[in-house]
Amino acid sequence: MIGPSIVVSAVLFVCGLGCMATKRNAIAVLMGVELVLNAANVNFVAVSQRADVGLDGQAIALFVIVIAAAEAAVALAIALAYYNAHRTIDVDEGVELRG
Amino acid sequence: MFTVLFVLYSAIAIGGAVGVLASANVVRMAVCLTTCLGAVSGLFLLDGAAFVAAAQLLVYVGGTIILLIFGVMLTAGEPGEQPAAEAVDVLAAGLLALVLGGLLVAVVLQIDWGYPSAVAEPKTAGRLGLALLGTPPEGNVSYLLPFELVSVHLLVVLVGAAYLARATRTVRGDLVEDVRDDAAEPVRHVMEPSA
Repeated sequence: MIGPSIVVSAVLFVCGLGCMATKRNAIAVLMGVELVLNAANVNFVAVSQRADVGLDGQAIALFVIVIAAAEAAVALAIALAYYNAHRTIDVDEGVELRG
Repeated sequence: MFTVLFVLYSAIAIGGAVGVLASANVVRMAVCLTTCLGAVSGLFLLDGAAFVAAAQLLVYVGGTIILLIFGVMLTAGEPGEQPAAEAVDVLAAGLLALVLGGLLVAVVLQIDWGYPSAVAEPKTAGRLGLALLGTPPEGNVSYLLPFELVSVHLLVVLVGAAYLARATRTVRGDLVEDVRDDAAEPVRHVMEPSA
């Protein structure tokens, strides 16, 4: 079931992208990023079902999971620092670097 | 049976993802994301990747989601005060998402992805562990170096995150001005001359 898995992955990717584009809460944007990373993982695991790909897809999916956990930790720390500095989590309020 | 389970997990995953996109409340988004990630773990199981499915449940659903929920709790403002998306943004993003999603699905359905063969050989966890330890079975790549790199990366990232997120606030909620200046002050260690 490689094709249907990749269709599911495409839907997850699009939902994550829309989440990143529309949400103004920094944590919500982070959830969109997680959805996109997870869509990539679905692709990797689905394609690793082919005999000529072997284990590579599953190994890379493991690495993506670890990287996503690390990214969530750092992004959360940044969100907390942002909240401490701005008293809000709305990403549209961070305009200090606007030229 | 396989098809039924596949359709079930896919429907739950897609429903969760759409819930994350459609919900305006961050806590509801987190619940939808948990559902979605759990269903994706089921999809991994059906695709013959039992170890990845377990890692997904443990690390993502058990770890990352907890982090996100702590983030939601620590950054919660007044009740009912959620920053709402603007209508123009929602319209543009919805249009973009629909066009891109349609394009992706149309392309994916045109490609012949070949016949899956790993399902017949479901025990990949042992081979995966050997590949991560640098002694891969015949015909596989060794993942020892990426494994070591990613573990050091995780350590560095967690130390950095703890440094970034350390408390710079008093109990009353007032911002302390430039706490970091204290840390920048050079500490002098006087070396005692040894006898």
